[in-house]
Amino acid sequence: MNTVQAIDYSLRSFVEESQHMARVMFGGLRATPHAWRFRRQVAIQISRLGTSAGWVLVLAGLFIGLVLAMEWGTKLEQFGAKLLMGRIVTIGVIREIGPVLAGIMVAARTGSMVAAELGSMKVTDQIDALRALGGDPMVHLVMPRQVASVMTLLPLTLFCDLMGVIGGWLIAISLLNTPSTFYWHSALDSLQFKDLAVGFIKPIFFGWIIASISAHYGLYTRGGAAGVGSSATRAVVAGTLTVLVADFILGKLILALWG
Amino acid sequence: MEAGDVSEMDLSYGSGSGEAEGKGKSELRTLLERDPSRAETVIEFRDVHLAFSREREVLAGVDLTVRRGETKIILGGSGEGKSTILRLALGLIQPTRGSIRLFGEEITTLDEAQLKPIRHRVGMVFQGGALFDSLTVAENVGFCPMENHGMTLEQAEPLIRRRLKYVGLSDAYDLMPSELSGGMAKRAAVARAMICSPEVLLFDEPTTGIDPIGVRRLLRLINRLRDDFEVTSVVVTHILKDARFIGDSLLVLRAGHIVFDGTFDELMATKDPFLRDFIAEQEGI
Ligand SMILES: Nc1ncnc2c1ncn2[C@@H]1O[C@H](COP(=O)(O)OP(=O)(O)OP(=O)(O)O)[C@@H](O)[C@H]1O
Ligand SMILES: [Mg+2]
Repeated sequence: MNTVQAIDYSLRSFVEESQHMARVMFGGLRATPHAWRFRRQVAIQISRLGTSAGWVLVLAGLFIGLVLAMEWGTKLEQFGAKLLMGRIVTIGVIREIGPVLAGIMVAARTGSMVAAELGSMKVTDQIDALRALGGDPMVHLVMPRQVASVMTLLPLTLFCDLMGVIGGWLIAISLLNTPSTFYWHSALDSLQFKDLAVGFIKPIFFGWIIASISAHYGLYTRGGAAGVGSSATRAVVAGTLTVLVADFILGKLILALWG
Repeated sequence: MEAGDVSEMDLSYGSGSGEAEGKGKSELRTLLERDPSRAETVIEFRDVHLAFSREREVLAGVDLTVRRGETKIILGGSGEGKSTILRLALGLIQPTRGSIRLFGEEITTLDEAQLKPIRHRVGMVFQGGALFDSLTVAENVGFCPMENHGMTLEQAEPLIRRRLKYVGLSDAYDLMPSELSGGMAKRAAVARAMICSPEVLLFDEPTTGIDPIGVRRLLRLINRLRDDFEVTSVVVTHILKDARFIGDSLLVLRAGHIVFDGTFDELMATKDPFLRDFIAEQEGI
């Protein structure tokens, strides 16, 4: 095989894989009207995804809040502005840190789970069997996971946000001797609708994209049991990176539209 | 008489139940024996090529014809592309080039939605069974009526039980696939493939992992479906004895080509050194 052929071949496989990815993303999305019919599968997925990330996120959110408040608090104190701390912590956590942290956690745990599950179905011919029996993998497998992923990531994010803000409050009252009411006033007064909206839109988008990426790698698995392992790894890497990139793009988009 | 024969009486493949009894060989069958070329073509491959990678073509120009009511055997070594042929016949994968017709319709240009009604007329038993491991045996077997005919599990239960009994798995109704042995999973897969009474059944090594009695029952089932209901079967196997018991004609696949297409007797009489070797090896086992 010469170089031109090799480039041609890898270009083709790249295009093919991208098409598959797009089919999974939008095929699942298009199937969401069937979500009620597949409520059992959705519920099963939610219980599996939710329980696997819950506790980790509680701790992660809390510690991020602690660290953030500690770092910012001491800096702000030098300028005599430590009363702003509630505001900075809350906005930072709700707009950025909560969604990204929860997204990455879910991408890591859910991603490997979904990719491995679908991957093993793929290598044992279950995906083909489903198609042969008149089923559609996008409807039966991808859509329930996308819906479940969004439905778990949203509350997990809010939970993570809450823990972050509580972490900040702990630092404020203990290390920085700020009265509790000052912290909460500063935190809540500054919150605008658009901050909350951003905090809501991101997890919905991340949940969808994480499930789609993981399902894509799962369904694209080749080469037996070893292939399942590498699909799971790839899903985690691609999922976490995509959360960070999508966070930037979404942030930019939202800033441009809303300020 | 084996114990299995009792339950075989319960088969109702089509709509009626008892009417099939004693029907024996159909008119089509008689016609087929007299002049095979007059029966309708069900599956037709013309110059089918398939490559998964640049380096190697798995299929390099395959031509084959399966007529209604016949049982076609595909023989060939491991990795020669036998399973791939069955996948192509269902449109699960697309050939690199060539034409594939199913019930007279070119399927290589159809999308999933267009393929659905055609696939509904075909049942496939995958090599490893391919049962959905998150569903119970009953939900697996009842998948077709539930997915395609809007039945609930309760509505489909009598049919599922009948099919399970037929393959000797009456007690497996509520089990999960992980609780089945390899042979049981295979039989459940057979029940799943035939529940919607398809006109064509594709079997990928249906007898491996099944005990001798189970094998004979399954082979007799394939014969009976053909004789009584004109079901067309394509059976991938590497066991010559099984092939002789059920097959009307055989294909031997080697290095991407069909190197033999004919009856069992013709295969036995062949002078081709590769085929002689192949037969000798089979008979040695
Ligand atoms: N999805 C795939 N991607 C890449 N290569 C594949 C794929 N499916 C099959 N192959 C290759 O195609 C060839 C034929 O595979 P196939 O499964 O049809 O063989 P087979 O005749 O059924 O073998 P066996 O008797 O072992 O089941 C093999 O070399 C296999 O490696
Ligand atoms: Mg095979």
